[in-house]
Amino acid sequence: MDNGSPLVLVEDNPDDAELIVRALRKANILNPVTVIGDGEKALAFLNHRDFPSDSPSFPMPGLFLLDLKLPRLSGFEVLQAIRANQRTRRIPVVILTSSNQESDIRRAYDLGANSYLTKPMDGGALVDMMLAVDAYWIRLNKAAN
Amino acid sequence: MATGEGLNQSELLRQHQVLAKFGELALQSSDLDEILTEACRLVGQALGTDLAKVVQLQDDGRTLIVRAGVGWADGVVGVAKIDAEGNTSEGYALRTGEPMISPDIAKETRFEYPPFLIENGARAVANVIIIGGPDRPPFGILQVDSRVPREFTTTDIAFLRGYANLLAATVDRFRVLDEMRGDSGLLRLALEEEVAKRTVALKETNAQLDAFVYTVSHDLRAPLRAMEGFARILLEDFGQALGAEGGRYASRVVSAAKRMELLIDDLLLFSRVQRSDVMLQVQDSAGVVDRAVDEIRHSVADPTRLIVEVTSPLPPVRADRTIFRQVITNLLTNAAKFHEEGRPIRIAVRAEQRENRVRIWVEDDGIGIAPEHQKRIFNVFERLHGQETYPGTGVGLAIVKTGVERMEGTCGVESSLGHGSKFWIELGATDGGAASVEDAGTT
Repeated sequence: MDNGSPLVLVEDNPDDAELIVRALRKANILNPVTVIGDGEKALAFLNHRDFPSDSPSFPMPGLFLLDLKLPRLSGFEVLQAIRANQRTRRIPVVILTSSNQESDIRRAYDLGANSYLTKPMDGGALVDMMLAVDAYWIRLNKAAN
Repeated sequence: MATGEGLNQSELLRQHQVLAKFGELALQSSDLDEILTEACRLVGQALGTDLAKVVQLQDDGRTLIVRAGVGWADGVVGVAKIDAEGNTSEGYALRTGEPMISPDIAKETRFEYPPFLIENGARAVANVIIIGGPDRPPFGILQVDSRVPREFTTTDIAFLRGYANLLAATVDRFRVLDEMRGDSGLLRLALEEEVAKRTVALKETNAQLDAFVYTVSHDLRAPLRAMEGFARILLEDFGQALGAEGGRYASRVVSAAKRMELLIDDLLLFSRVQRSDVMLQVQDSAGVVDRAVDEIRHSVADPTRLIVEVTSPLPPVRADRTIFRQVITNLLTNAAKFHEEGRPIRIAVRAEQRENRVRIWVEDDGIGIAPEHQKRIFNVFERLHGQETYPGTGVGLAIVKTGVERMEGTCGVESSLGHGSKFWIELGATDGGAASVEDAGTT
């Protein structure tokens, strides 16, 4: 994935969002990060007429980091929308949630998630996790054009 | 006179025989209509007529319907009605309770007779009440009809009364049986309704609990992550500004948050063991123990101190896979945990076959448990030691106890202070008996 492609982080909890963005930076991930705070905004983002384009405000994202429990529209619905959208259906989606419920894990994969990560308690472990995300999803993984 | 006496004798005999026959039938048959029809046939036999019927009083208290009979044309049995409140011989019999005889219907001036009686050629009739059960209206009337005018002797009447009483007893038996069936049927329906209601309520409660558990696992962790994360940032990026004391406090926030997370994890685990669906299947005890031993080996601070001895065979048990693994892991974790610093940790796992049960022992040579505490330790959140000496949440053994109970098993401990602890769980054996799947020697 292109170094310049933005990561889209859908995360409603500002504390988590800040800790995740910081962990991304600590893991030396330099891609721009777009933080979206709820499911409706994520859908509006996906459905915006300018999205995705080469304009600086809506470049094609390289990776979605998606929380499941979001106000108004759940992460599952956002995931469905990503997969239903012709332009985003092949973009990798990594679920990043605090739920380790088997039912959530299954449903996420059923709806086309590429990876499922549970938010670690430990800030150090979060940085380790983002290092792995960088190594695999950003550097190693070959995305569809 | 002698001839009359003789006739009388043979008639009496015939009546007695009919009573006996009917008694047998009434006791054997489970079909009231069959009994009543046969009763009509027999009573005709006894009194030398081929025409008889049983009329039943309906719930309205005034209509009689021919319930059973012999010798009648179609359209009588089950159909023909008589008005008990009209000027009928039946009505009279019901009102007085006495037998009512019409020796010759054609000459009768007291009563009106239903047309079907005349149409079917009845010329004489004897009515005898079939009484109802205690405190109940009469069931109806036994009617012996005759195609020729005839007298009914006092002997005939006495016989008919006895016969009608026998019928009454039979009818009442059926009524009581019906009521019982109805009662137990109603009772069953009420029970089923109650069970259905409670099942719905239980499902709702379970769904609410699920939602609660989800909330706990999800929402309670978020602020904890923030506490831990930001305190850690303070430590990492603002260490100098905090100074030694400030740094120590920030570390305390980090460790308190981690401990809270452990508590949440264990509570969730406990709730899962309490409420998850239990599926009892044959489990390979040896394999489960081996796996758990590996896990423990990775979790103890100094694996070289750990000596685990598994004595074969460990017979398979009937257990739920997930819960059984959790129980074994918890027992081994405890066995490895409660030891004095720096000493070797010896754990022995062995099994005993006890008829159709298997008892698995997990023994250690650790600090032991005083007898007065041995019952309490299986309660949730029960702890005997401070966080500084042996950190924990006090949920592990509660999971063991709840877990084995949900798997129809039992558990216990033998221990004394300073002499180690021997924990055991007992679960159902499998049909395969003592065959151990895997030999696991000293590891």
